[in-house]
Amino acid sequence: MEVALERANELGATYSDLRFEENEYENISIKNEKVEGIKRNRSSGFGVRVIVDGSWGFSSSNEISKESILRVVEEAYKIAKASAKVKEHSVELAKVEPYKDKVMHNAKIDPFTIPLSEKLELLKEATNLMNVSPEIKVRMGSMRFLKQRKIFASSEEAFIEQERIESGAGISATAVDGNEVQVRSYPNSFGGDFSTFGYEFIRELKLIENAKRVGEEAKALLKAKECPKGFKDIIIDGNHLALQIHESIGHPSELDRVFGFEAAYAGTSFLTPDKLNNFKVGANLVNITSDATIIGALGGFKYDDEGVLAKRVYLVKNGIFMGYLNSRETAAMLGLEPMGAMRAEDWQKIPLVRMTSINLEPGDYELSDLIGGIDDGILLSTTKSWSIDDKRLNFQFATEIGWEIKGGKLGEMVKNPSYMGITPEFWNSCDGICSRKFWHVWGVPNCGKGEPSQIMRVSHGASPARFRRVKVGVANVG
Amino acid sequence: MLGKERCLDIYNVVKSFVKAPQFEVLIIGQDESLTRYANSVIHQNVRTADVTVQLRVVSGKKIGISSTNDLSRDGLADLVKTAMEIMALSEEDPDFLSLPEPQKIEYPSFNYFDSSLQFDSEDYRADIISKICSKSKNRSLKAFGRFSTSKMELFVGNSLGVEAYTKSTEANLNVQIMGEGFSGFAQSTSKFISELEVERAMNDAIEICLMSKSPTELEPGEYPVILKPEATEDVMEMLNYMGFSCNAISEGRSFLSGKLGEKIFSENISIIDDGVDRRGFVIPFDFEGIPKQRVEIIKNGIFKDFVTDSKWAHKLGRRNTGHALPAPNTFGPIPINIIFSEGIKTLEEMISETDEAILITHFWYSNPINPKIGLATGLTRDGTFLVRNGKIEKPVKNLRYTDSLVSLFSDVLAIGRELRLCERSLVPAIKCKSFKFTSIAPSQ
Repeated sequence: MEVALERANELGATYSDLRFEENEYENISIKNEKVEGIKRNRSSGFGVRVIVDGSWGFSSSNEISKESILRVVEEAYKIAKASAKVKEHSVELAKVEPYKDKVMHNAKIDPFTIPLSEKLELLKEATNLMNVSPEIKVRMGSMRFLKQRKIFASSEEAFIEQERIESGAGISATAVDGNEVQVRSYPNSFGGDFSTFGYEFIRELKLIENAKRVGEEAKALLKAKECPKGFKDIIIDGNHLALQIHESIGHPSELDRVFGFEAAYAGTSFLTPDKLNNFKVGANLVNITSDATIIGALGGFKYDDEGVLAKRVYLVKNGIFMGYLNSRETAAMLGLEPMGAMRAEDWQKIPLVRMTSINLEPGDYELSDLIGGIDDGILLSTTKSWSIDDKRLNFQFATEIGWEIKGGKLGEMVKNPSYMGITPEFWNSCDGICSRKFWHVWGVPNCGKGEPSQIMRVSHGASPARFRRVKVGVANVG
Repeated sequence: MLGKERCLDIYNVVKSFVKAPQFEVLIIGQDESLTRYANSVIHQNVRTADVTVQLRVVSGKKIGISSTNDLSRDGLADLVKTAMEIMALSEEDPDFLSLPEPQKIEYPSFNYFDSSLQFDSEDYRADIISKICSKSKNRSLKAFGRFSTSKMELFVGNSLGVEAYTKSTEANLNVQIMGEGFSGFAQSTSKFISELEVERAMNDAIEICLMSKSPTELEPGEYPVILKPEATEDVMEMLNYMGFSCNAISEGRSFLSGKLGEKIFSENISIIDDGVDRRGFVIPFDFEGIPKQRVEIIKNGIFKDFVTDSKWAHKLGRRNTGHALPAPNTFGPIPINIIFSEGIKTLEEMISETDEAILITHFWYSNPINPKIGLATGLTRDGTFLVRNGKIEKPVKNLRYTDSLVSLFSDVLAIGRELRLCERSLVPAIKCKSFKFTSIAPSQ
């Protein structure tokens, strides 16, 4: 690593860092009680980031040798020189402490030590239990694990070694009857739930205990009545509220978006700097934090990929927009303190401003109180479909399942529930959030951003919350 | 890039360690450079190179798969050990018959690999971007986008005699031009960097942006639409994702399930998949080393055929069309070189022959709602216009659609005569009778 940083310095880089990673992945998928795929993958390499003539350059390689490292540093240097041909200002980095540290993973049980047979047995039993009727055509179960060792070194003399383990699993049942297709997933859609704990997390997911119910709900949805249309009071379950937080608060809080760095791809943000510390993005009870210090959270870590120490900061406090997710570069552009949100998917990719664990802080309601306060409404659970405009204002989401609420009581199941809104209007309509007893940090393994595309593992703490007068049934075009 | 000889060396090292009745070595090498620009400056500029060696070992119906990017002898020995361990612990896959036998691959006689110096030049990319940024500044606009080049090499060898190697290149330029609250977009993509339509993409994006100034709100509802090629590609990509995979069709989850031989789209729509058409990106064989077949998916609106790989061909008793993705492929074989049949109209003719329609540059954040009927939602972006009485009357604010994309393609009034390469598809502009818009995107 010293070789790289010394060479970058010799070439005239005013800043350089090198990130080395060793990653081991295991993906298991079961379909209809049969093995669909098992794959283990090892990938290691390094990436070098330099600032030359006030502009960024980055290069990376899987060849780990002194010659390769020197070649990659020189490539990064040449790329930065080319970048400098089209610039207006030189990049400046906000100052941070150059830490030296070694961080261990959070796992009690290394999932790579668990025999494959045990993992397969668990998934096969769970998928079999979902097979409650012939309409259940597809029964899926999956597990995903990552073991990572990462070293970050910078020309500012930071040197940080971090270990990380990620574990996740989930099941889903697809029921088909003619033109009707309904899916139920547990604990959440798109692979289930994920954390930075070890195999103990998988055992605590209770896949087997919930499998029969999942199959029965998928079957019942085929015959359920359609989600009504109109304006209703709604309660959003924690596993879908995670997605609502992600899309409508998490992404627009990314400061690189605000400055247009993602404009041509992922879009910009309605949370422009003039709104900082004064814009009422939600009701008074809405408090949203970025907290990478939560132990076990998929979006958690001790240091980000710029070596910045993880922090807990408010993005929204008492409904007021209070803070951004930032990098050293974007923080300096607004005179802010770096809060540690620069993350790269792996060694091949340059770090970008990404979500950490973005959480709707718990309120003090019981779920029964939230339901009791609704005369005519819908309870929605488990993400099915999502779409939001490039400024993160106009959203339309659908969930797998819903239940009517009539006269303060939970009623009939409804299929194809969907709702839409405009972000600040929606969050200002929130008038109840369940307590910490209902709060869970949901791991989201598929957050996409950047070019080349990067998939990031993030998380969202959430408990069920109530929103008044929301337009529902919007995806029902029949 | 490793080259074929080095790939064969790796294959032989792996072979020396494998103790399984069948095995397959898949090598994917990638070298990608990408320059991003925003606010008329370059803000990100990267290069990455990697090689992945994937091994699939087979004993009867038991399979083990592992991959690595450690190409050392020890790394490859470890790769074999891991794959063998997984195979030993796996259970039989009743749908699996065998790794595929070799088939003769007809390699295209034309070149599809750009070996020019410009292709690897960060200075060339910076110079093109500088030109786009300067021209935008002259119009008091800002430029955003990316300019990327990528090289890929692919080797597949198996113990039954499959041995296939190819290398290809892709260059892509995206141009988004923005003013205060309005924007325009255009793109160009090609196998060869010299064939990128830089001037056309730059000028189109600027022109669309300037036309988009001061958009007004249009009442949501059902309107005829004219889709530019990029918008057609967005719709096609979503339809492909929702319904064209062999798995989705066979499992009853697709709008095409059980409809082979039935009319799905307008009779003026024909869609094929062809991995060796010289107008598109070329990949002569799939990730099992089987030659890509030309598949006539939709002919005159009728669902005629779908793509398979070795496992699904065996399972369904159909021909192997050579559309395997890297194993284990849980999504299933899917078309990746879609080509529409050309129509007879120019975009200008479509506009001039229209009483009322919405002209759409492209879409953003489309997502499926109900794949069984092709229902999806998404938004228009970077230039949405109301066409009235044969002319573009005014720009309108971005609109959200919520509608069946199958229905959209079921009543197609006109198809453009020019096909444009967008992502990996060759697509025309299309005019459709009706599309349902359900809300307006605010512009704050």
